[in-house]
Amino acid sequence: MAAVGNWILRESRKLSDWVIADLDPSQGPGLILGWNETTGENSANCGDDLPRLGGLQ
Amino acid sequence: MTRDVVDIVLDAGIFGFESALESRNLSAQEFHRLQEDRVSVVDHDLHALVSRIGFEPGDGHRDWRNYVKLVVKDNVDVAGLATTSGYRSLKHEVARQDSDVVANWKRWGGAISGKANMDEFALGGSSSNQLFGSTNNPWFGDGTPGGSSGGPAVAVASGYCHVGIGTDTGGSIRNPAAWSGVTALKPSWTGLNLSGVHTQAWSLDTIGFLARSVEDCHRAWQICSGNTSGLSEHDRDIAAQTSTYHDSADLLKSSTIGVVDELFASLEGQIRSEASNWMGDLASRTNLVSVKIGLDDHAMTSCLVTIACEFATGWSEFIANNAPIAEGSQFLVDAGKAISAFEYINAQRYRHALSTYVLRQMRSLDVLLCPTTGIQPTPFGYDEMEFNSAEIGFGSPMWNYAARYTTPWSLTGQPVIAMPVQSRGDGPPLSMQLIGKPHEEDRLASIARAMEVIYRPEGYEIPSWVRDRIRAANPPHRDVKHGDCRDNR
Repeated sequence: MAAVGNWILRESRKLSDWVIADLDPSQGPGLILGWNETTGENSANCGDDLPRLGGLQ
Repeated sequence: MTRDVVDIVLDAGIFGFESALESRNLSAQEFHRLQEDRVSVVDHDLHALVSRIGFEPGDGHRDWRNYVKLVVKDNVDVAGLATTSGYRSLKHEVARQDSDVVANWKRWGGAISGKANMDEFALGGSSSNQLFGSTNNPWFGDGTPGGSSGGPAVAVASGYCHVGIGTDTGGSIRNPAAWSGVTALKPSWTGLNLSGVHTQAWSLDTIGFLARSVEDCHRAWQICSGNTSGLSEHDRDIAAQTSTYHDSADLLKSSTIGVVDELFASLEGQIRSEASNWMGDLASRTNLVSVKIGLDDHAMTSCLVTIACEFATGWSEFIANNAPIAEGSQFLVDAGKAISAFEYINAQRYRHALSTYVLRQMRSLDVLLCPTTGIQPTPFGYDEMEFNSAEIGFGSPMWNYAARYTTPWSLTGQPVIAMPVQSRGDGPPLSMQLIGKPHEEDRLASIARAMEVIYRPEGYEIPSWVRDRIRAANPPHRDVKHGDCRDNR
């Protein structure tokens, strides 16, 4: 893969190292669905279904 | 200074449109034709639009709302038009129905005047693609207006429409707003339905609004949310708080604004001294509190990892079976497929921690404040700012000078208004971001509107290149003294 792709992979690993070392695991995964604790809303960002992921075929 | 009548009427805003027409003794149909003439005169050079929807006055257009125009980024569905996302293989993908936001705009009575250019799949910051070419900056008639929503930003800046719709994943409406000299509202994540929108990264994407004023951005957001039942009440609330300079000054005086120090400290050169001077004045008008978030390279990495993985998940197979995309974008897709779930989830854990920390810091604050961009376009040096074709790494100008200021608030999903606050001669004005708490768009808009009244009393500033081109094409009697319409608001 070209330099740009390698750079992203390298930085993502550095970010993971930092998260593992510095964040309290009890904070949970912070997964996207339902992560907005402020409003208590779920992440129904896409209307009735998921975004048009491959829906064009 | 004299201004063209189209600009004066647009300055009056969506809800001042009807009275502005009356005060100029101009019918909506006449205004429509003047505006269409302007597009014909200017867009040949700016290339903001990729398609135009022509309509004849009287052809079902009777109400003033039918002449309040919206320009739509080409990744948002408008029934009957192709939604290309600037990608060659989508050139003939005609949308069968309107996206939710466009349907709400039409339901309110507004018109759609065309689709606007963007970066291919919104992966970039220059508003250029292999299908339609490049959009030019309205301040110079050349060079990039920023991106990826550069088309709608230029359409608003040049007076083609009242409002432009774009999408924002990591700064894609705020960056072109700053570089084109207009105002942008990025609503809270999950605040708008994205049905009928080509998403780039679903956990970051929002629809965003571009207009000449905070008020019009806010109203367009309400309309496109389908929230028109309370529109009058909201309008009164904002108007009551910021209708005069005195009221606006009072609102600012009673507000507490958190200044994100590290994002001011990273500014360089002329923009740093301009921001510093402006902040000196702001400090005398409101309560400024220094806030340290601890933003570092991890914030931008988290954003890029999320974009790479989610975009690759959604589009890589489709792209693999169709035309090649730009080289830089393909690298992003390849990286998105190679990043492990372990690393993707840790990027989301970072977001979660950042969001929690920022909201904790904002408990006693009304809004946060930081620059919109660390670099301003000039007539020179655009090639240095290309994003698609250059490295995406921290060393690239686009990443260092632009995304650094916008990505944190995409990660946290907060509402943001990016707005001009100070003129800069022949270039677009200095732009600042106000960041609100999630789903507090009304409060955010009130403070931003107050700031607009204090710092932009002359209203929207049309790019001199566009003004000169229109003046050369239009008869002189169309010029009227600046301020005539605003006085009739």
